[in-house]
Amino acid sequence: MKLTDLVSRESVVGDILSTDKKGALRELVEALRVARKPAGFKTTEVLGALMKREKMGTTGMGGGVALPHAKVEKISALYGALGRSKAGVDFGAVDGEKVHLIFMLVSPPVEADEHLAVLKRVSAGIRLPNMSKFLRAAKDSKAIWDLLREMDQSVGA
Amino acid sequence: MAEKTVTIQNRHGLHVRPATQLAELAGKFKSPVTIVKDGQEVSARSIIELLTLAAAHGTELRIKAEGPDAAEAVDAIQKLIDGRFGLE
Repeated sequence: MKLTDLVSRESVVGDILSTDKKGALRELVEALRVARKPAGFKTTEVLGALMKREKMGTTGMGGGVALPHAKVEKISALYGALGRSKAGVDFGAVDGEKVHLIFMLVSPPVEADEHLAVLKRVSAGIRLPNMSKFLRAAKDSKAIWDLLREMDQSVGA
Repeated sequence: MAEKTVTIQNRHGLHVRPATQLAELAGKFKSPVTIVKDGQEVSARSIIELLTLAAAHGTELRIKAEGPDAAEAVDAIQKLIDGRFGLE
């Protein structure tokens, strides 16, 4: 699955305004709901599932990147959203640094292999040379989405 | 130089939580540790690198370390993986 299929153009939030984890996730969940209008998608329920997962251990993976994710029973497809925070979000990341890029995944209960394939796609894109730097410095959400397309091209099928 | 081969035994493979545990453990040792899957070699200290392996249940991984505490590092990581990351 391509990142640009996972994250629609309108599911990119160029300026996350909240600096706390829950607020930042709420902005992304709302952006996703408005952009994709997934059936069975309730903001409070999805946000609750994401926060529950965070309580088991932060998804702030270090290097200013977080990968919050949750399974939600009632939705029918895998959805992603990408948020960029200029100020940084306090995510309790493993390296103690603030998070500037939030890659959020919301999925129906999927097979383990499919979940791993999506994680591979996202991580392989982010670790491209200078990619997280470019994403953080991008002018706006359109520029961020263009970088996603570049990530798809560089990572391959 | 220390090396061991292990098989991922937890049902959901090396997803974010186990990858985070592995990276945190690897970071406690002085010796750099790498994980190899089918010739792809990544730093065990990086969660993002570990996720690029997409190591599913049943995947064979090679743990490699070089440095003063290489043997301890490899043993500790082997125990974590063999113990299914304490998740099941």
